[in-house]
Amino acid sequence: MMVGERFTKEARVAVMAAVRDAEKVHAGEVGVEFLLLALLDAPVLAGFDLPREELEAAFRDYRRKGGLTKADAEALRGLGIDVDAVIDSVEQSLGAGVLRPGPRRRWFGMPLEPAFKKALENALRESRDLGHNYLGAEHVLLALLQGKGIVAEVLTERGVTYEEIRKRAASARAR
Amino acid sequence: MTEATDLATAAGDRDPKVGLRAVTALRRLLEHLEAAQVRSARAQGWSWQEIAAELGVSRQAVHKKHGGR
Repeated sequence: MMVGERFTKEARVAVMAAVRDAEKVHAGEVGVEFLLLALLDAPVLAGFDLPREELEAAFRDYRRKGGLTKADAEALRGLGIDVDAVIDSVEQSLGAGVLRPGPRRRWFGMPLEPAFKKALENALRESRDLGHNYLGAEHVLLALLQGKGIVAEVLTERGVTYEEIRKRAASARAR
Repeated sequence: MTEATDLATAAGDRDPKVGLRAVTALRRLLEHLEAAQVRSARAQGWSWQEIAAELGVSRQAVHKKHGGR
């Protein structure tokens, strides 16, 4: 089945908002972070402390570092590589923000980052696992939390866990 | 534990997950560094041929990878 068939309006609107916001900041592609930013007001995230500006700053830092998460930086430190030092030195010689991917020449609108597509596919699986016949914000969030990417890192740092969202998703009334 | 053995433990971590994550992160960093350096070279008027020679790859390869930016 096509991913789009089960989408709730909420999920569809979020995907479109993510694309629009990515275009607004001239990103090279639509990254998963835009998907989270578009879902911040979803009821399933109610009660969590997720200040938009703080998240946007974390995502900017992530893109500035060429898409490396804190866990990635930690892994590189294990190899003796100081990511901050590398980024600083490259920016010093080539200019600030030089590792942030810029807009690409494109013919069919802004491309979705592979992790974005993967998240939508996995959201469908999360919905099925819960026995739901719809795909909503909660399923997309579960998919994002399952990845080991930037969104999962930012969310778990702020107390949003896969287990908690799954509990909330499971108790949601059928739509 | 001394600093030396600390470093040795981290670098030679036996957990494949740790090692593979480091490799993946390094590859991502490398790709971004390469793209930035190629853009800079192009901006300074370098030909694809010159960039390719410096990177040790064919002109076609470097153009295919970075030409669309």
